[in-house]
Amino acid sequence: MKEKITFSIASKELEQIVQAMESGKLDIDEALAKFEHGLELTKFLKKRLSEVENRVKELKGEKKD
Amino acid sequence: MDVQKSLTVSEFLLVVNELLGGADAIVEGEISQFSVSHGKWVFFTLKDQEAEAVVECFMMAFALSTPLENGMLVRVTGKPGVHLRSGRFRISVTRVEPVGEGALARALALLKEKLAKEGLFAADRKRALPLAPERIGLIASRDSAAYSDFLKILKHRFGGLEILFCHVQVEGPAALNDILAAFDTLSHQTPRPEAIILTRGGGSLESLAAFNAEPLARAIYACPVPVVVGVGHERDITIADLVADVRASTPSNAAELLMPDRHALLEQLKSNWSRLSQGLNQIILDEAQLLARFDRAASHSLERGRERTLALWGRLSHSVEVRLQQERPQEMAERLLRSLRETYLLARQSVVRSQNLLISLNPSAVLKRGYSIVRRRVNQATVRQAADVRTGDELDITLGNGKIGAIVD
Repeated sequence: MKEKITFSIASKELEQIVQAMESGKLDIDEALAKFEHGLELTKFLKKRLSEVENRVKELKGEKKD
Repeated sequence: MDVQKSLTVSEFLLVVNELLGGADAIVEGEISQFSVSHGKWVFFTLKDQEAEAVVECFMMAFALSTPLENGMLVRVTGKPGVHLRSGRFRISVTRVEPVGEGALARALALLKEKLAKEGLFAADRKRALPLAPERIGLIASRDSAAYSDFLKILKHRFGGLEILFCHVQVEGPAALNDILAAFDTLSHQTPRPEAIILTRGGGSLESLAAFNAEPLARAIYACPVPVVVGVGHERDITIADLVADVRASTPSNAAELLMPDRHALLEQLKSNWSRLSQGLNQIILDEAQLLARFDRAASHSLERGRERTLALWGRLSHSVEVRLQQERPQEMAERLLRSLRETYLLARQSVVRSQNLLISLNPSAVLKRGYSIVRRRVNQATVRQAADVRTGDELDITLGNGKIGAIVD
């Protein structure tokens, strides 16, 4: 999987894989490869959904006049 | 006789102005005879509502922070003095603000009208929020309920986010500059936040002044990323709300609009997961049917693989549903994948064997072994017995490699 993948990107990719899988155009080799990638994405998304904390970082704004 | 030294007019007026002192006067009154000259100079007369007293006012148009009109009650700050060229007494105004709810509301209406005309509130300018931003900017007061409500709801909905927070005063004289600086700071972060949230509790029209100020409207409009504005309920809509890409009704609502709910996302993930399984299942089924034409054993083995897939999928999706944290579904899925690959490999080997058989039955393979096919040239009918031909018939003989023409004698 690509580094720096985001939740949105992974969701979109998974959606595309599901659509390809349902398109009826894949042979079984392609289907297995897509499925494997889909599995990776599902794992990643599941992990992201299980995170419970958010990190707050305070920035010091410069005052404008 | 004492002759008092006379002054020139300008000397006299300078003395008068000096006697008036350099201190600012603060005067409240109602505007009349309001006019703007060349877009640069603003003139109006301030009068008491009851008594018949007036004072002229002058100011530069750029110092005008709020739209004015006749009849509006305002408080002006400026230096009183006599204008040399006209000899008229007036206040050189540096600051003017509407006084009372009526005047504030009227000034607000005028500003709304102006910004609407410029297209700052246009619906087709509103930008959509990213599906699930991972890095967001938050502008709020550290000590406010708005700040803690927003973070609490956000945490309910989604985790693992990076929140770049700028603490600001949300009311009082420092508020506007604080908020403008925060927008500036957040817009210059690398990487940039994917959306910015400006939030505070509700308040009176007066306490919401910064949210109704023109410079903030312009900052939101110019912001490089979508802006969500969430101000506490039970109040009028501020100008910041109108310019915002997304308007939330409360700080909590801002969090809800910003992030999808993790439970809804989990449902969606489950649905995709099952569609993925059904899709793969169908493909394996089709393949098994195709194989059945050639090789019953291969088709059976693939069919068994498919049943195993279904059983595992059932357990897998169930686990995803109940136990988000559990690692086992992944192991199962990986085992499933391995077993599918093996099944498929076996089935394919079997197909390859069938194919080899077919190849051996192919006529061209037979010809390669030294047999040939004889056809009558006239209709290309295959000659199977001597009675099929007569003397003088023309024949085509197909060999393993090439053709020969012949005549029956």
